[in-house]
Amino acid sequence: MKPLILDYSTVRTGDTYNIYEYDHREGLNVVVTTDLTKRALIDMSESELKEVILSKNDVNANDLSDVALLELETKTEAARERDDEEFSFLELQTKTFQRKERDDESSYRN
Amino acid sequence: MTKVLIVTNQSDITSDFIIRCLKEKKIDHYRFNTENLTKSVSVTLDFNSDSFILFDDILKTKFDLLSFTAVYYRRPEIPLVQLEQLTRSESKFVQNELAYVLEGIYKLLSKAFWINPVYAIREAENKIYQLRLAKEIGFHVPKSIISNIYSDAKKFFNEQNSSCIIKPIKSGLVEDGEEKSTVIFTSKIVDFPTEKSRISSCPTYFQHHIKKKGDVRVIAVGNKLFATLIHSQEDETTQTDWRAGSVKLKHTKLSLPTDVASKCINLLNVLGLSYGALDFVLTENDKFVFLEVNPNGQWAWIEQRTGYNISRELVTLLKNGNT
Repeated sequence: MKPLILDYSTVRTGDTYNIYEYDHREGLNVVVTTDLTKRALIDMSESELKEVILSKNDVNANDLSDVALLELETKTEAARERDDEEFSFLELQTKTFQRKERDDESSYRN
Repeated sequence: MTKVLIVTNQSDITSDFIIRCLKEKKIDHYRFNTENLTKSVSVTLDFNSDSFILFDDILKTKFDLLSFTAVYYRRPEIPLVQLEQLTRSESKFVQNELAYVLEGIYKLLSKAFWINPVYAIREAENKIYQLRLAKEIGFHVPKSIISNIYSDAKKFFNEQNSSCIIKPIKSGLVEDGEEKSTVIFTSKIVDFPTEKSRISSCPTYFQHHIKKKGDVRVIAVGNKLFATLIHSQEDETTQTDWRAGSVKLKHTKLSLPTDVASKCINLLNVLGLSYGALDFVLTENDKFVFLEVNPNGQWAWIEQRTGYNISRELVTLLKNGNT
């Protein structure tokens, strides 16, 4: 018989637009903007990020209306390999935040 | 002279805030993205010469581990080992060796000031331990039970007049890396099951459902507290668990009552933490009810939404240590 707690699981949903990359020399995640300049992700405004997403993805601007671009509170749809803990929140997602509950964990991931 | 090691992975945006602040303050630092060990980062631990070196192949720079005065421990990842010529068990062996080397590196850095010490984090993470401790310290805590005895769980549920929530004991993520993963948020129980095995098969965490004015996250950095009210009751989907909805919730700065603030500091001291993210319910009659403390909890979004300069406070603490 399925444990009760599992009745409350929900499928993670949401689109992810991963538009940034890690710059080893800067030690920061950066975005190449529409005018081809490289900027620190955390220095970019929501509107600037939306502009980059729209330029690099086949997505309608209206679909981004609910986007929580710099909603740093949480997590990401983009599960990475066997990564079993939350990590970055800022994987530019829309609609549903899914890994939120992983936010506050843990000292190790593998 | 301050020299900070940031232990994390390269996708950790929260560490970006710390790096930016360290640069602004011209504080010497190195970001050690642990998943890159054996890829773009190499290590030699020479016990004959007491030389413990990380070498960053991209930066072409050597870092003497013993030269770091402070460590910001965020989200390290154990490197993935996917070598074609290795069996699965051999890959696992190599991965374990890498994990153990990382542990050793942390031990070598034991004289540095840490936010937070790894072993303190691991101990503090346990929610069962936390809740007991919080109660001992004098926080209000929700009526709670964890049980796999059907009659005990049912009795608790009935005592709450059916106003009861269910939540994971550790983490809400349900995944094995293959099937589509799911999450479990804190949820209100509608019907208690009649089949006993649904409780007996797994210890289950029940709490009294508290009517709230909102949720509060307190970021503690040393003795500084940054409290934020998250207006979770403004949307139906976030009323039980503010993380569950997709709406952008209003966040406002909040002053903590003195006794709550001193208990927050006390709790962190007992847990051996110099940083913590504490979650409370703010009840309809303005009582703060402790839910949990996250020794490595997120803070960057709070900084963004409220204007609190948490990254600066963390960097100041890394610079000054416990002094």
